[in-house]
Amino acid sequence: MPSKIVKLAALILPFAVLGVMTGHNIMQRHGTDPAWQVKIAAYDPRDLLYGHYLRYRYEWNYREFATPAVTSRCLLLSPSGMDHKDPYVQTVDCDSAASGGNSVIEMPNPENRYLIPEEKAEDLDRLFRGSDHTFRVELVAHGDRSISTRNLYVDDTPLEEFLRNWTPDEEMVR
Amino acid sequence: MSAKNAMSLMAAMSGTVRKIRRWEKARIITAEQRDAILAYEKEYRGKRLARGLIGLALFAIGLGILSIVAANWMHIPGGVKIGAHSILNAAAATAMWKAAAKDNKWWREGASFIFFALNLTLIVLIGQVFQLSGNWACALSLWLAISSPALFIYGHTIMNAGPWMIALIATIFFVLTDIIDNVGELNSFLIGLAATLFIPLGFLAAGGSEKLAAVRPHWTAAAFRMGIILLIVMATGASFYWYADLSNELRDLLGGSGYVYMLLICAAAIGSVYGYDLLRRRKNGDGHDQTGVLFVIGSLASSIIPLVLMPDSISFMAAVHFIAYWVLVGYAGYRIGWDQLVSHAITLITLRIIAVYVELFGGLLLTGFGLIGGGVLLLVTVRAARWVQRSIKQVSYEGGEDAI
Repeated sequence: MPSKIVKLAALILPFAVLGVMTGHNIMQRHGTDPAWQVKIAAYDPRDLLYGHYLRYRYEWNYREFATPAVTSRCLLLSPSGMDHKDPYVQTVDCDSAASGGNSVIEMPNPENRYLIPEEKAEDLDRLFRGSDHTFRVELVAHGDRSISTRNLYVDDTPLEEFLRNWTPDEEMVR
Repeated sequence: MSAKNAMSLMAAMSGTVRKIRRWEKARIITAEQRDAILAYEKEYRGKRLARGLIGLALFAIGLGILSIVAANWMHIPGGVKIGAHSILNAAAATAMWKAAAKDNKWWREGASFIFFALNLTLIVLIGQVFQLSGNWACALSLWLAISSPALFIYGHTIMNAGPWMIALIATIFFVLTDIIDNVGELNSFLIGLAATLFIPLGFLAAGGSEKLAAVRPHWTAAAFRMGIILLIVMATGASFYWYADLSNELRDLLGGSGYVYMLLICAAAIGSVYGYDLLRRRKNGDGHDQTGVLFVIGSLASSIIPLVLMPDSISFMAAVHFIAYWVLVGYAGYRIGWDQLVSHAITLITLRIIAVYVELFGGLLLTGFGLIGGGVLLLVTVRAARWVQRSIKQVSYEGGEDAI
């Protein structure tokens, strides 16, 4: 029979690990790492909604179209004049250091997803298909070149706020 | 006939009751013993029903929580959702601790199952709140890593061992899918083959572990059953390869050295069974039944034969393969006294023969030959099995030992 300490430790283990995971994500979300708003488009126009996830790809604001070197596995994001919105993007070596207000991030997956509330999923899906609204995700660029997604913006308004003030009927009339 | 009488008749027709009445008629047991056995069976079945219903209820609760989490109800802030979920987890953990202290078996088992399920839903919730991009392989691996110690310590019965094994198989599947995606076609095939052959063997080895059985007998029983089920599914599924034209596809994929690697993996799987049996025989002596080894090696052989032979499409062989394998399963069930397995074997062979009938419907003549062929095959197999059994008995008696 395991001792009381082992029994207790086994019960505490999930709390400890998931607690650290939550804390780490809270720190990343509310930390001082630079955040960029990047325009997104539907990944596959025929199948935007996967479960309750919007599937999207980034529409990078490429500064140059030169073919990247084989070793280029990272992107350099720099302000485009609209604060941190739609940053200029260049492919660079991952060894490149970020300077000034720039960030270097690892090449993100081409296909991404954002979880949306179940009750608004279909309306948002319809909205995303149309061309009347601009969708952006807010990416936080961390020091280790990783990124995390902080928020989804619809016409510069955070999703939650947008959904509070938006009625799908109005949209359909338009 | 009243409803009560109808129920009694149905009960009397049930397998156990009929069997016990037959034993009584044959004067193997007395009327008192019959009554005692029936009373015990009645009580056991009542408990089994209750356990099954409790298990289903807990499963429904777990699924319900997962659905609520998946709905991503936007009116509750993420922090509150994670906080509330953590309180639920803490309540389940406290219930486990208290039930274990009071030695309340069913509370402990139920709370352990709920705690196990809640850990998964909490991981999913954290992923949703922070929009993490991890996949199922990451989530399930983390879930098993953090939940398994508690489940093993507090969950003693099949109610927890069963779901854990299913979770393990799902995790292995997703992790392998992740790996396979990035290693090229040949390596994918070889990794998939190795996993398919060795995972059931791993379960069987865990199921046969005496040390594990001493502390968690239900876990070993579940592992053993899982190993058997996986072997049977794999070996039965392989019979359908005969419908596909594997020749060109496999030859292209395996090339020269690929085929050798495949043979080595198959040989390693069969060799490991033989080696395991050899070690057991050294430890326990030669007297134990070899049916298990015969069944496992037969299942492995059944799984790999179409791959090794790389046939063109020979649909008739699919039926032969299926029936031959299930005769082996039925024989193994009979030898180890697993009646359910024997019944399943007979049912499936019957259904397969009917399927042959449907498949061969080119005309009555062909169908007739197909059915006669199936019947003759069965008779020959049964005859051969009896001959093998008699030979084994004779050898065992000559050795001064009844191995059967």
